[in-house]
Amino acid sequence: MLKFEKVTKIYFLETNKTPIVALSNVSFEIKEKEFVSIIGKSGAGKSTLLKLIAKEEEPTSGKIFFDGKDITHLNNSEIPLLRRQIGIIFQNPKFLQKRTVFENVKYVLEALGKKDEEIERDVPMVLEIVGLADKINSLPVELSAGEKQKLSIAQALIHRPKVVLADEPTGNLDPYNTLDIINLLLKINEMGTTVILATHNKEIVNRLKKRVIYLEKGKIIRDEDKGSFIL
Amino acid sequence: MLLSLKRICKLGWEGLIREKETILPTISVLFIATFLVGSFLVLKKTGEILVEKIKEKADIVIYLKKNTKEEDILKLRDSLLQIPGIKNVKYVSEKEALDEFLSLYGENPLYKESLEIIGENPLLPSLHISSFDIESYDQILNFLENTEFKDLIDHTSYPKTKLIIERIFSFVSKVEKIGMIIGITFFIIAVFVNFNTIHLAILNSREEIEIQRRVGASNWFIRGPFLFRGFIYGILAGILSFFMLFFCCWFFSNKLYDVLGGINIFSIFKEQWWQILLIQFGIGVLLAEISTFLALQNFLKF
Repeated sequence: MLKFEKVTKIYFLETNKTPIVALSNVSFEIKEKEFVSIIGKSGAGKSTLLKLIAKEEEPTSGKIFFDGKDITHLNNSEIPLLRRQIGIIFQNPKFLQKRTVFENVKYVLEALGKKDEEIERDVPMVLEIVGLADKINSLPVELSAGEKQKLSIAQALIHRPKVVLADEPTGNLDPYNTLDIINLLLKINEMGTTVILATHNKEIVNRLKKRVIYLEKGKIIRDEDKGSFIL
Repeated sequence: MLLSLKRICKLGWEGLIREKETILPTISVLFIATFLVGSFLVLKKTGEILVEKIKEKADIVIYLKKNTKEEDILKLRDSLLQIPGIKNVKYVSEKEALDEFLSLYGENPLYKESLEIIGENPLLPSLHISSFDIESYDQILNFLENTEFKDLIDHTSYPKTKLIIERIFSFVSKVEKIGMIIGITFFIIAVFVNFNTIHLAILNSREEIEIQRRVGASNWFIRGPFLFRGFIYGILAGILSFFMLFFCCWFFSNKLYDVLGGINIFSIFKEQWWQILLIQFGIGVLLAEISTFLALQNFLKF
């Protein structure tokens, strides 16, 4: 499903052009329907790795394959096509503040040109899955942190992506909400979607008992099928 | 496709209402630009009509010696008609010239007495060259100096109109050049000013753009609502400047009537109104769309 082949990403500081190696010679493969946690300290390269998958960044060297297709260098018209197969969840999700929960999710499908009937059918369904059915007419400002993250998951799921990238989705949440979100991600994974979770939350990783890729200073130092948080 | 277009228009309209504070500054700049273009069109047309009017009045009269044979005069007329640019040469015989003189001044006792004292028709036969192209003026002069009929010519009356026409041509050409320079300068300024106001509007919508990009909306779907807004800005500016020009032409037409030698600029506006309206719409929309397109580029980099 997803393959990194000797991928390196170097950023250059704008002030003095000093190179900063975010990822160095990283290779791994993620199979369809897998749940993979990417762990490491802040600055280890977790977010960069997810950005490379979502084509928000281009690798300095190496190759990236998605569904067997080389996505290392895509032109501007190909990137939206790739992103339609990816759902992205951030630590600080952004919403259209003047629109309701329903409209925020609906907006995604409208942008993708889905038919009105499809939107009316799918949006309540996904809000039911994430547990926001009773908040359908609420504005984002009226939601709690956990609910906001659920809305973000609903937005990421609504277009039925093949893979969900979650970048520290529980970073701002209390343990109860964290558990909720992780259970939701597991549920999504059970429904057949590949989930890649970037986190530095020890409890989450230990609880999941799923594959873990350890990153340190941009390099993979361990890749275990049923890993636990060891640093 | 139709569904996307409908949604783009809907999002564009919602954005326009949401960012209504950007409407006034954006339209103001577009208004000035489109008004300038409209005024320039009316001015250009006025200049053209003015030149045509003066051209119509321009003529050269060749006075021939007394008792020149009509046969020779007609030969000279035919030769003149061979010169490219000359459309009409009228032969006025001595008798016709006298008749015309009498019809004009026959009642004047001084002229009447003078004619009686002379005792014969003092007027000369003549050839009147009218409605000729100003470009062929020099060719006519050259012909008259070198023609085999040179001896038949008593004198020639050269019009001052050549100088006037040349001055008008030069004025119109200068107005065109200056108008073009002002137009291009203002076009660039308008693009920059609009770029900033539209950039501000886009900044307010960056969440929307980010969500669209994240889920893989096409660049055209992201641009669409802003381009729709640009279209509305352009149309509004076009309508405003059209009515302002309408008012200006109506208001100044009487005041400028005599200055422009009997040209009514309001009539010119009425004759050309649809062309002016289309061009003003076109310029307004083009300006707004260029600014929008440029302002969006930074937000659509992947």
